[in-house]
Amino acid sequence: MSKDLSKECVVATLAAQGVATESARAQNYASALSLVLKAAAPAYAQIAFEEEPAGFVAEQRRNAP
Amino acid sequence: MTPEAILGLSALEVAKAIREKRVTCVAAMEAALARMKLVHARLNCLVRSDDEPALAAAHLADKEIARGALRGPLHGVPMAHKDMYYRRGIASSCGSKIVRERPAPATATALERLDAAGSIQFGVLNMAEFAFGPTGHNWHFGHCRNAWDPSRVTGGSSSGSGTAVAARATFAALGSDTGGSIRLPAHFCGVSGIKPTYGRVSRAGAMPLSFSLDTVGPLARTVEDCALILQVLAGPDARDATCESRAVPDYVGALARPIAGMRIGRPRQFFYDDCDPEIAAAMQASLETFRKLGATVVDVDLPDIGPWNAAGTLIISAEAAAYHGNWLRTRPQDYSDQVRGRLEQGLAIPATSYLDALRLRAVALREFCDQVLSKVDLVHAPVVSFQTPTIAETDLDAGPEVVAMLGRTTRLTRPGNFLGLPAVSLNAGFTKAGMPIGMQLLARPHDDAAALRAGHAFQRATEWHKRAPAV
Repeated sequence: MSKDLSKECVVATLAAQGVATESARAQNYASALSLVLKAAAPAYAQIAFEEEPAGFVAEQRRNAP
Repeated sequence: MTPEAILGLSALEVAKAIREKRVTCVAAMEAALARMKLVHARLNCLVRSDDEPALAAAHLADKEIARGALRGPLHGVPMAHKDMYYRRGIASSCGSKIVRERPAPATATALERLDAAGSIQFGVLNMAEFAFGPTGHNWHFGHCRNAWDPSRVTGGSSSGSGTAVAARATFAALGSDTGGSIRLPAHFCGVSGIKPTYGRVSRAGAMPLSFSLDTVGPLARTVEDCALILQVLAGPDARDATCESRAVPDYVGALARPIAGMRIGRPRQFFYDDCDPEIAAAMQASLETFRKLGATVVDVDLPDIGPWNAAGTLIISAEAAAYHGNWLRTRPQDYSDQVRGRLEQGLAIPATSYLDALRLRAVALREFCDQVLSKVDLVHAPVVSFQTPTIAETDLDAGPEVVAMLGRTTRLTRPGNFLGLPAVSLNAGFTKAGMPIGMQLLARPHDDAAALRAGHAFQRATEWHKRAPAV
């Protein structure tokens, strides 16, 4: 199981992009993002090595009537 | 015809009445302008009304009709649109403080196509700030109010479009759907809408939120109107590289085909988790209607959708944060607290997690088509699983409770965006409190026609879409 994002990590990541964030906000972002990242993670295990983002449009066309 | 009688017509009906010279374009426009001003006072749905140019265009359209020149199937039909479709040189607020006075660089392809079809735009409508909110709240222009009960939410982000169509103040309106923003207001306001297949309608000149998920589509009083408007909007566009080049089917013509033999899937999982009993009952009743029309209702097992919704959230958040990065650095104070918080959060998403979410889409679509859409023509589901909340109940600034509320609101609509599927939303009844209940019909990629055909058949057999709120 991966670890949660910390608020320190969020503060530093945003600061590196020029956005200053207060501690309470950063904690909220870290908590919310950790939940979403964890919820998505099991599905990532199904992705084949060769899969790429453009495969979605190809799949759309393949499944069109 | 009286203004009330004109406003009681659908877009298709008023276009026909104009063609047959039973209604003038000027009379239709005057009726819409007056009605919009009246209902705006209660619903806060209008951002700007363009009375003079709209009336001038209506006069011109009448002269064209008099000499037998018809621009297209929407000749003279008044429409107002979500304030995120650009007209060159004119400001589109996008529901924000930041761009409310910025002249648009180019006209949206969607507006060009509606213009070419003869529709006349007479105003722009309220929306969630940068289309990043599913409830209809807007802290810059004021919260939009539901025509069925002004204390309740309209749904968003196409909030003004939903409530103005419901209030008979515009014959139809453009919305956009990235996580449910057409289907949610269609549900909450009791109107019809279509989120087309991703790539079916050009996004050029429409405010971007998430380039992988954004779709452009109409809200209207009937599914038939949605089919007509999609017919006008759909098709390739050199200005949008994601726009499909495939031929546009005859959506309107396909409506005439019966739905007997169509297979409609009722999901065994996910869509009915914690569903309000009144909403579940309305869904069941609508399935009975489809059965009576000759469709077969099939229970279907779904793949695990929860992780897909999470991946969709990562895509929207990361892409929206990229669009807004410059303003988050230079003008953070000009965002509402809620929207700023959600955008800033996207800056912290690891790049590989975002890319994995994009890579997952093909896997998910393949699985959904193989497991579900190979067995049924449509998936039928509720749009929302809870009763319409009040504006006050959902008026939250920021923090964990916002994340929970927003996630709950879009839980049933986000799968359609992640999978890029076409989805029609239409009214399926009302709660005991008198609020509309919507259903959504999801079809295979590029089979928008199937969802429209089923929705239209339902409306021919029922009266729900004919009810109008007493605004």
